[in-house]
Amino acid sequence: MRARGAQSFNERLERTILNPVAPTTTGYYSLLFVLLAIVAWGFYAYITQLRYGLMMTGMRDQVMWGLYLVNFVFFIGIGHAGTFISAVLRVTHVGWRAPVTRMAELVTVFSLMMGALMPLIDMGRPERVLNLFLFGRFQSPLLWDIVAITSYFTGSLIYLYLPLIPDLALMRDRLGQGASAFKRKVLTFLAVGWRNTPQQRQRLEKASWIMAVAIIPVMVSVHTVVSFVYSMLLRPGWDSTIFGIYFVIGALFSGLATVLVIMAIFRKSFHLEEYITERHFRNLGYLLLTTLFLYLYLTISDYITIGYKLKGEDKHLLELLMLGKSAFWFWFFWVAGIAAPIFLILFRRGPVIPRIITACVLITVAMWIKRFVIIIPSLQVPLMPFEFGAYSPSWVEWSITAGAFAAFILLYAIAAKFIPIVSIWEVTEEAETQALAQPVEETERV
Amino acid sequence: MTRFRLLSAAVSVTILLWILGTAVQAQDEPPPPYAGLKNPFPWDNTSTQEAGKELYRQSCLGCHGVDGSNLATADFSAADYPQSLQERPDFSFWIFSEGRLDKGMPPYKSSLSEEQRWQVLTYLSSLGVAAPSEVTPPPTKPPSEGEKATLQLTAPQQAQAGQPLTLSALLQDSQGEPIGSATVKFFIRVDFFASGLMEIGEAATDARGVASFESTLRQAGDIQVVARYETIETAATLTVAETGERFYQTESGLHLPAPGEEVLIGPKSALEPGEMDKAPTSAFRLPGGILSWLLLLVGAVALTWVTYFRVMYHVFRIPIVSEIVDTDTRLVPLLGLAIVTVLGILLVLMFLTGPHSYFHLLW
Repeated sequence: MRARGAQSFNERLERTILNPVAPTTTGYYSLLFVLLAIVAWGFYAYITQLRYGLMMTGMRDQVMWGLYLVNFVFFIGIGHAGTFISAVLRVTHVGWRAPVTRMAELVTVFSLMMGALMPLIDMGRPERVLNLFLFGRFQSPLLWDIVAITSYFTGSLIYLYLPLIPDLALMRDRLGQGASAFKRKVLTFLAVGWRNTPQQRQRLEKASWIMAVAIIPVMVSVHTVVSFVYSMLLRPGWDSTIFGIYFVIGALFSGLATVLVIMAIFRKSFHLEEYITERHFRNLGYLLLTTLFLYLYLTISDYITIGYKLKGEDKHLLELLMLGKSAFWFWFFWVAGIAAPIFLILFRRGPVIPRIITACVLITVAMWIKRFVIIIPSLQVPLMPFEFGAYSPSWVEWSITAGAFAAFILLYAIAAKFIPIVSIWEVTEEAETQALAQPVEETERV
Repeated sequence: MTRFRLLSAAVSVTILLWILGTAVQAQDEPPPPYAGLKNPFPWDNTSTQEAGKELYRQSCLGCHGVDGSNLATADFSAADYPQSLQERPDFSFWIFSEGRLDKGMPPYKSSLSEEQRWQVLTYLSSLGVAAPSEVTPPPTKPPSEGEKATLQLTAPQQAQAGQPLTLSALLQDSQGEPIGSATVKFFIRVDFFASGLMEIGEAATDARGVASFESTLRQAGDIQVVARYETIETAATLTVAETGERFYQTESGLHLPAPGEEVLIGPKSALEPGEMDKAPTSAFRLPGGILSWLLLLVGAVALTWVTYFRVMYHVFRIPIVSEIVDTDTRLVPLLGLAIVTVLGILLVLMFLTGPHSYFHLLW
């Protein structure tokens, strides 16, 4: 139960945000159990793959990349929104981002973990990834991938950690007598002796600014480098010069959708209505619309330049995509991922949040399918005049995909229990900045 | 003042562009280290010329022809060629070493040593001897109808793949008289999805009826050689021995001018392709010397990780040292600093080291 009125904004903030961190409901445990079960099943599928080889998947000679690489691009992609919301919106002084930065950064960290795991799962002999370290050549896009993703992951972890320090210090200070010594010790270590002195605040502010500026080029480079894995090859549909920006915009697009869905879930379950308002959904909805139109522009640009010239294999590809086996999924993306969200966001009939969340769920699904449509049909077009390739994902691939998604949600759910899901420090800072800017101090909300 | 600045900027840019243009245009002056080089061998040294002739047959014959006259733009058999070669040996050495890709001349600096290249040039200077006045061949009797000429093919007893060999065909008419100025074609039998004769060239018979054909065969084993004059064919078997030599050097990539000699730090084994089933050894390499373009990429990565280090250092400075009692709150930032350093160095090293066995193919 939240107390209103007489209590100050800060006290309410602390109480609401730290509330879920303490007690645990049975509902939570059952969710964890279900997710763990799915992850375990995915793990079992992976053991089967390790034991019997990649024959257990649907990947064969011609279509040698499948669901794992789709997941790879998808997960690395949704990570970008985290950095966009916390870093880009910080650098551009967008104040309303403050309540959602933590959620966004957590999305980045966990999705990068899942994404980076996917190419390893794709390998029949995962130990051979060591060869990239021992014998890697700078000419290799896979090596660029490793460098970029490692840099981005480290940067995101640091960037998640920095605003977390004051929150952890708050938790450390609010620990009651009954708390275990272990918990106290962990929090003390992680809070790095934060006492909220002016020097410490200045130092943290400086560090956060440096990271915010530094991580933006890393963010752009990561998905560009992921796209280079495809665009450095001569396959029809992949041999494109705009893949770098195409993938980055696509990542922002799908990532924003994911973050919005997560925002809605936590807003409901943790009662965060005071901090995550309709304004957030509307503003992020407009950002989503912007990236949608940019993505639409790049997609059309890509397909039109292929379609106008229609080189032999490109003709096969477009026939396959628009009229052939992949037609359903291709047009599904256009309808569910582009057309429907435009209508849902632009035509403002009815309450904001349900419309935007529907659009976001559709976008997330459609963008997964779009990654499928980018990767697999290009491999199905034969390089020699033989039969077209065929790809049908096996139960192993589906299980591992499900396991990866479940692991992502699981990690997120566990993290939401241990750290505040809204960055208390950033919200407080933002409120103070606004209070300083305005003559009337905001203490009560009606 | 701004107008002056603009004007000076425009002038500087123009001058810069002009310099660049001239640099591109001035292809006729060999750049250092080629400028001013001289032939270490005497131009008329016959043993050097012989050595050069061998190399010429292997590497140059295909495009420039037997006597160097195949290509009009580089006619080694012209009467004035030896003089122009000896006047500007550095120019020819430069073209020979670096190639001239826009004219189709590949570079030879990787496949022939300096000594070898000078030997070839020494040989080239002997090609431009004025052609002896044409001696009209004695009139030969054309083979009369109904009488068959005979063709005999002689192949060397020993041959090695990649080494030049001479095939001679003796063409005689039914009376045993030699037939001169007749074109004899030479073939080898190959098995490439189907068995058949592959023409390797032709030669004209001289006054003695002998057609000499020089060829460099690249496959080893028992090879059937066939000579043919009009409808008359004769065959011989040639045993060609294996050689450990590599015949083809593929060139790939753009050959942009390198600021310096490449820097390679590594074990001797890194310079050769490894044995079968063994992974190649890695070495530290900077393509194009100390000012390598690779440093741009490495710099970007290093800058990122140095920034992370800076940030973690700020976190390290957050705990107030005087307040540390029992739990060292600087542990986590220290760990962070250590991880950032290790990962940063590892990633930078991944760019700078690599297996050498591919380096001759790519940049």
